[in-house]
Amino acid sequence: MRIRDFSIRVNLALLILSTSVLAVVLASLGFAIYERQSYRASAVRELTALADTLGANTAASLAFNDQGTAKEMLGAMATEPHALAACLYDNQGHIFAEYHRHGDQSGRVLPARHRDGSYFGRQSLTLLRGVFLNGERTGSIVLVFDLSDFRSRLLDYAKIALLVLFLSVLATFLASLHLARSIGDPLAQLAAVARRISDDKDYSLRARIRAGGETGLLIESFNEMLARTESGEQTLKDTLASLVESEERYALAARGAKDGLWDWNLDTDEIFFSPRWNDMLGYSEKEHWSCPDDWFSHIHANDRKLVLDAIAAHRNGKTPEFVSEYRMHHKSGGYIWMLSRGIAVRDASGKAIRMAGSQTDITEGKIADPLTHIPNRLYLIDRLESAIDFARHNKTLFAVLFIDLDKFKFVNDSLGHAAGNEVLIDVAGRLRTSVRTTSRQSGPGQSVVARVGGDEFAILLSHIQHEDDAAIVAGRILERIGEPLYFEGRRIFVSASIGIALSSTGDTPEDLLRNADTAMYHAKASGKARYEFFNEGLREMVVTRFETETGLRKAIDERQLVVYYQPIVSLSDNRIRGFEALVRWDHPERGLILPDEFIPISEESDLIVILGRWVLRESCRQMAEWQRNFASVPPLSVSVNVSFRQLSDPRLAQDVECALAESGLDPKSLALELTESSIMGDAEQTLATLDRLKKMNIQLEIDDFGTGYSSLSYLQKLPFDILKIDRSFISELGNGNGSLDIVKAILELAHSLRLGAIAEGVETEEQLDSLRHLNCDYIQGYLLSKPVSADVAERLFLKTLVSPASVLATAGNQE
Amino acid sequence: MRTRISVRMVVFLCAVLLLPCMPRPACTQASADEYQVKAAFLFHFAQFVDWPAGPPSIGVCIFGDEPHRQEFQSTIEGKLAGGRVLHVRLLSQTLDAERCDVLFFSRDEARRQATVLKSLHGLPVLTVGETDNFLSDGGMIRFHLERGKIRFDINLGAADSAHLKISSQLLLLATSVTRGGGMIRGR
Repeated sequence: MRIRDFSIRVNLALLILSTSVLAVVLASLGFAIYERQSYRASAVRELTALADTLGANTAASLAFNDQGTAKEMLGAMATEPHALAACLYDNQGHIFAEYHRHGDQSGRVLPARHRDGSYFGRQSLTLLRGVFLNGERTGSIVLVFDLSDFRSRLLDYAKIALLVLFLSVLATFLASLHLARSIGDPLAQLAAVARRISDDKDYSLRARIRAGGETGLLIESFNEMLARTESGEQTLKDTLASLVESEERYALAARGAKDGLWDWNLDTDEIFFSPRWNDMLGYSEKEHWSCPDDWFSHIHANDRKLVLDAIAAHRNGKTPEFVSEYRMHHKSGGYIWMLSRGIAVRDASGKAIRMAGSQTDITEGKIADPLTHIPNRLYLIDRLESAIDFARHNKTLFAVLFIDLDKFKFVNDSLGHAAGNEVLIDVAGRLRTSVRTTSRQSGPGQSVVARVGGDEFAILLSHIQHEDDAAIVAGRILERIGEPLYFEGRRIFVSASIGIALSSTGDTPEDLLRNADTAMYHAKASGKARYEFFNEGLREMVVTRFETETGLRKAIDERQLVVYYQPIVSLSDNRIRGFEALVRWDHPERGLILPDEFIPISEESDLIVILGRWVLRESCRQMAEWQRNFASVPPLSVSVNVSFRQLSDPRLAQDVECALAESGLDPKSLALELTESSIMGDAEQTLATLDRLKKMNIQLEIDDFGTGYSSLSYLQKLPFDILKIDRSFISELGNGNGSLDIVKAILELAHSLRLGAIAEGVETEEQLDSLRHLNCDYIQGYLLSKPVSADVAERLFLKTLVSPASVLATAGNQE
Repeated sequence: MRTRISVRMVVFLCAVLLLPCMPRPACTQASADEYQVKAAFLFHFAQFVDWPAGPPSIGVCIFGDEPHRQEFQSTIEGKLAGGRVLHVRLLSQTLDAERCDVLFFSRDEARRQATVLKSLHGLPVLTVGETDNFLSDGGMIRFHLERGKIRFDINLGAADSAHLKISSQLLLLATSVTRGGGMIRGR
């Protein structure tokens, strides 16, 4: 252990002790030396004086050779206790007289051999001096003194010095103890405080030590430093806290925003992914991802290049930021849509060294329908892809249901879009509860309900054992949708047609959706509010329909359509009152096609409007021509069918005006036939159109009267002229099941409302008789003539013009 | 230390060895020429006596025997005593005695000594003689032999009346010192 390793107290004590010992020793030594020197000097001085006195006194003795006197004088030395010897020599060096104490011989020194002066022996001092008489040296005197007494004196001094030394050591030891306590203790306490602070990191501690001087200053400075450290620590803590807070805030914000964060060091090619990033993909935070491939390998194969290109473009400085939308594989098996944005950090040379950004799950926006919040077509297709894969690998079965609302157009047009939206939202909810789907982000095992079009929904029904399972679900859906829904206090009824395609019928999502769509069309065509399974036969049918539709468009352009006319005969005079215009398609390959085959198809699109317009113009033109050629009283009229779709088209009135203006036909000679169902919604638009048409003096007829569900109140409200009794009532006439009464009632109703009545589908004489008997105004049917071409119709008219009864007479022949 | 010891030893040995060979002046002096010693004594007397006038030279007169003048002259002529030169003269006429500073009366002039001493009374002349009644005749210092050694007595009264101051050391060495017939000290 070296001295600097001792504590400050020991060091201090040692220092003080050694200093005091050294001081006392040095002082004693110095004192002793001084004492010895001064003693010697004084001894020499005394002895010299003595010698000189003796010399002077004995000089005369020497001069007069009086040895006795000289000896007497030297004998006076006996009174000097330390004098050992005294010798008087003559100039020749002979002893003249001498004195010796106790026979001491030490004074017998030959003066010739020594010069005058003092000679110190071990315990004695020998002094040699000249003896002078009147300035002339006459001899020498030698005195020898004993110094042993001085030695004992020195020993006494040494004892005293030792005592002083001991006392001073004792005193300094006590002093050093006090000093060590007054300096060392505060320092030791200070050290202890410092140790506690460094151990506990508690900077609020202070050294509560009372000390003055430099130690006090040190403690004061120490505390001051602590205060500064503490405040620094506090500032640091505050800064850290606010940093942590902002960090937390950001983390919360990021978490709240459901954003994943990534930070890519381009130099080391390491990426930091935030825990949320993992979470978004269904992985736990423990999944430690750190390389770019962890990211890119999860991106959908079709999107990967897009993302990499976008990153490269930004790294090369071609884009101000990196933005990309892509699909990423979710741990559960599906894909979710991500929107990633990032910014590169560049060095002085502009080279990108780091890129960081966020990744947002935009699946909701990307795959969800904004109105109903159920998945959209995109997502459904994505899920279908997974389902197809899963089914193929696991030999399982699933079904795609295509659902179309039957009267949605009507709801939308008659009640407004708000009502339509409400219906869609409601239906979406009902579909979901019917299928009992769970989360949208689901695996291949989950069913999905999606909105795929305006009023079209599709359902991926997974895990079914048999097609009956799909049928059960479809039935449940029909039931649920059939329940009334309410909008602004109104009850609204909707129905749906469902097409079902089993997974075995197609290999791609598009195939399956199309097949289900096809089946849905079939369901709709088969009477609506029902479901149909897809089969290969249906496909052909649909193909036919498709071909029909495309052919029909072509037919309008290439004038393959022709108008046939069926005469309407007035029973009051048996003359032809007019014709009902009926469209026929003179197909170049298939021959003449009846409207049942193509009108419904055309009604599903705008085709009906175009077609209807053409029929209207052609009919007007033909009738105008006939009226010009064959004047009759009353003039012939033509009845043109107007579909629901045409009626709701705001251009109808305009089209009618056009057709009349173009042909120059008297509006009174034109009648428009509207079905009961097409006017039932009594929408504002329809009413306005009918009013406008009525003001143009056009005849309005109710077609298929008696088949609709609605009340008869519209008969009063709407400006109809003629009522056409549905053929179903006429065909039953004479069968005795009450049809006669119904027809009679209808006729009475019509007449009481001052409306004319036409009986349709009159095929037998009995029916004719009954109608005549019931006072029906007009008849129409195969009994008179089936619809015929304009040429035939013209001849028929000419014939009845000549002989009115011939119409009825020839009717049977024609059949 | 060893060298110092050896040096001391040598000194000691030398001292011890030399001691027996050392000449003893007391043993040899008696046979020496008596007047040579007395001449030396005269010289030393001059050294221990103060003259009132303080003459630049000290005249030492020999009254009496011619042959002694030779010894005196050879012994003390030209010597300095207290800075003053000694001159030895032979005094044949008493008249000249007043011009002497020291006057030695030899044994031959015993019959004239009393007269001369009387005539010099009160004059600063140190008178030295060798007869038994020299002091009673009014002389100041008288030689005598004591165990073969020349000693002297002093008549302090005579010296006082002549205004000569004799050093106490000289008085200490005198065998006897008298004043006015009374003994001051003696051996």
